[in-house]
Amino acid sequence: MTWYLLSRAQQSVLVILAAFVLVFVIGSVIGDPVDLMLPPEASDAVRDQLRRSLGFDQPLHIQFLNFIIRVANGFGESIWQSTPALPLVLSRLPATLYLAGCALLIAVPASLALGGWAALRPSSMADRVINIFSLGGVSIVDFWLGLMLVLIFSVQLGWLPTGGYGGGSVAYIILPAVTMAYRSIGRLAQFTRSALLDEYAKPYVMTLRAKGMSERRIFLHTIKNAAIPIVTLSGDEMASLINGAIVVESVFSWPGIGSLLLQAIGQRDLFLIEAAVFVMTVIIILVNLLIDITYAYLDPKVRL
Amino acid sequence: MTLCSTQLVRAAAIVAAVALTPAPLFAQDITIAVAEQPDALDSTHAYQASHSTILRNIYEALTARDPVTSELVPSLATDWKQIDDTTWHFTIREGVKFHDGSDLTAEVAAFGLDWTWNAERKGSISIRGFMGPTMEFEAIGDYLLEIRLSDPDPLLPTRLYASTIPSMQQVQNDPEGWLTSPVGTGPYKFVEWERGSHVDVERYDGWWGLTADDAQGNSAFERARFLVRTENAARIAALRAGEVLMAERLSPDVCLTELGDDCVNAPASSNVFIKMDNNHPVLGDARVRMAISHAIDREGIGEAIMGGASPISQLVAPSVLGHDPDLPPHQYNPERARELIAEAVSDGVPVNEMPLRLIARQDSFPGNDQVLEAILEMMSQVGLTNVSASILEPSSFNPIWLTNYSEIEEDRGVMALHRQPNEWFDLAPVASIYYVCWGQGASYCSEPATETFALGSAASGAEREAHLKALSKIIYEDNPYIMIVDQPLYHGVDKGLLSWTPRVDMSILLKDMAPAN
Repeated sequence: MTWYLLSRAQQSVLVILAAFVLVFVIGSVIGDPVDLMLPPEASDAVRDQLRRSLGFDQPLHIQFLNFIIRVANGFGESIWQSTPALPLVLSRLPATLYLAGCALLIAVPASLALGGWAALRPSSMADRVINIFSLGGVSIVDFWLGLMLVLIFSVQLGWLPTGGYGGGSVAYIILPAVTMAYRSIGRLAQFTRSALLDEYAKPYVMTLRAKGMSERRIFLHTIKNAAIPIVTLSGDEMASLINGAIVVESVFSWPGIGSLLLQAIGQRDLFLIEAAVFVMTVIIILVNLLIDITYAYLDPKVRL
Repeated sequence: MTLCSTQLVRAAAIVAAVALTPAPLFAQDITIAVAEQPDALDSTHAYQASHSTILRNIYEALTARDPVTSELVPSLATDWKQIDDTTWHFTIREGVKFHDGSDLTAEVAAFGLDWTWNAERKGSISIRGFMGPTMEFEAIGDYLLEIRLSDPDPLLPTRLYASTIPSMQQVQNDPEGWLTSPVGTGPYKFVEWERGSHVDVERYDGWWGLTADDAQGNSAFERARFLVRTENAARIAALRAGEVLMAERLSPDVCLTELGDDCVNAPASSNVFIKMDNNHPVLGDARVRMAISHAIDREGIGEAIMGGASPISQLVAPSVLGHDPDLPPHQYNPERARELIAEAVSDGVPVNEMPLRLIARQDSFPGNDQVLEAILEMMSQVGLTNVSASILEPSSFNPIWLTNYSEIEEDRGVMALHRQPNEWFDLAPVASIYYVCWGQGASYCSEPATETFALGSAASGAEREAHLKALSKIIYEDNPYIMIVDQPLYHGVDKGLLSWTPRVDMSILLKDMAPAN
């Protein structure tokens, strides 16, 4: 088990290092970063001055060394926000994790309930309705869904605020969390249904039924076996939710990493973009590591 | 009594609505949805459109603008005069106090201006585009400020409009606070900034304007919150849900359809035009350029794509010094365009033999891709068929845009669609980029234009206006660049609750606002 965890952790470190190099390559090697940072109207003199002051006139290997030093010092200072980039990104992290966490808290139980219900009565009306509902989840663009929810619950009914953080109060998180959760529900519910149906088709379920076990207890048996792929996919969903935060956070003016990243791109703030991409990558890698650990607990075969 | 399930749901909904709806601020408070998250709140950012809605209420400059005519009027300076070519005197208003209680004097103004324009200071990079000649600031009396320039600069009072005055006490004692907790002399003082969420300000009871008769406006609202809503749809939703009384800078089509009467059309923020390579064998022919101008249906583009934009004949708006109102936009006349092209072809101009490129920078203005396609189609309809159109990344577009006339290769054949902001209210800074042979972005070179620019940019008053108008006329007749439409600015205003009239200078100031009725 320890060996398994160590090897997974080692792989994660390697992936983080690869991401680190990739961030440098994308930021500094592809195109001229000074062109990205300055408006087109900026004069050559200003361009040269900025290029020199940021060390972009140096050879590539020196730039890479500078990049490492800059990363060690918090990814340098955000030109747009005039403040160190990494602390700024980290200050937005709780809002993003809070939102993604709430979305997952809505998505997982809802998906288990819907997928389980559909699997119990395949081809019934309930199964079809759940199927259409979950297809909507994977098909509807969350940008559009968010705006529609705002239109209904904020503009028309006036029940919930249109956006903002509101100190993290419940009223403010409902719409963005539901918007984000719907896509995950779509995928997870369908997956849960098919995983359970696979289990129901196995001989041990037939044996249980032949012995006269209640459907409720059969469900409890099968769900444990179906849990392994569902947990894997849930972890994958967490990673998607963090990525998807870029759109949903912008629609709801949620002050998380996603909206910060989008604005940093708009402001051509290279250092802030690098810090945000790096932090998001690390989170996703850590989530994957967590899934691997959970997986090992759930499935003894993995530990062998 | 038992409640049926429908009643229970209704009751729950009512309880939820009461519990969850955010509590409104006080009745005399106003919330405004702003389009951009401010990066810093220091005085050097107050000139930017993205920051001015917040910062111009806190900071003030030596000069201000008349909301209707856009003429420069007194603000923190009550008077100014040019002593000689390179020396100016500004009389500082007496009795002005900063929000931290310190007094405004000529010494404080000199310090603040020097602090703002100092090229070595970190963070001043954004305002450097407004820099003119090197300036020295010196207090020669308690309330008399002398500004000495390295070269003559008739635009100095305009430059100073861009440059607001910070508190010397704050800058010296708390330079970090200067970036995040602004202290100015304006009608509202800073309360709180929650990055990514909002900025709060409240009425400053010590504002000089409350007792002066030339302050232009009053602080009718007790407190104001600037809510950051970067998405256009989010700003509109906030206005429609009653969370804000005003939503700035909305995209025209959505604003007009969703808000109707509450969508307010403000003076244009910039002008859209096509910059042509005038040294190209085809585009260098005046008939071809005029044909392209006649081929473009400006009204159609303005109405169908740009949400009510008007055709233009010049690179600057009517409120800008140097604009000539007697020059009408070129008419949409495809017949005439075809004739002109036929004439050029018969004279041996290699029309359609050399490829032309129609380009635009990604996101340079909303709908630029549609405008590009429309123009491509209109050009093809008058017989210009060897044209390719593409939207370029800034890193590809910028070097093309910024090549000077003398460095453009003859066969480049670029027609670049872009916009020019009306930030200066004076033609000279714009002309220095595009109208003179040495202009950084000039793809045209004419001696008369360059000479007229030299005369106009050195002059002041009526003489300056006459020269700059003459320059506008030369450009209009040479037609090196094709003027398309202005770019209207739309704001959402809850007219039932808020009374506000847009200013010509595009600023959104709390002192111009009052509760309706």
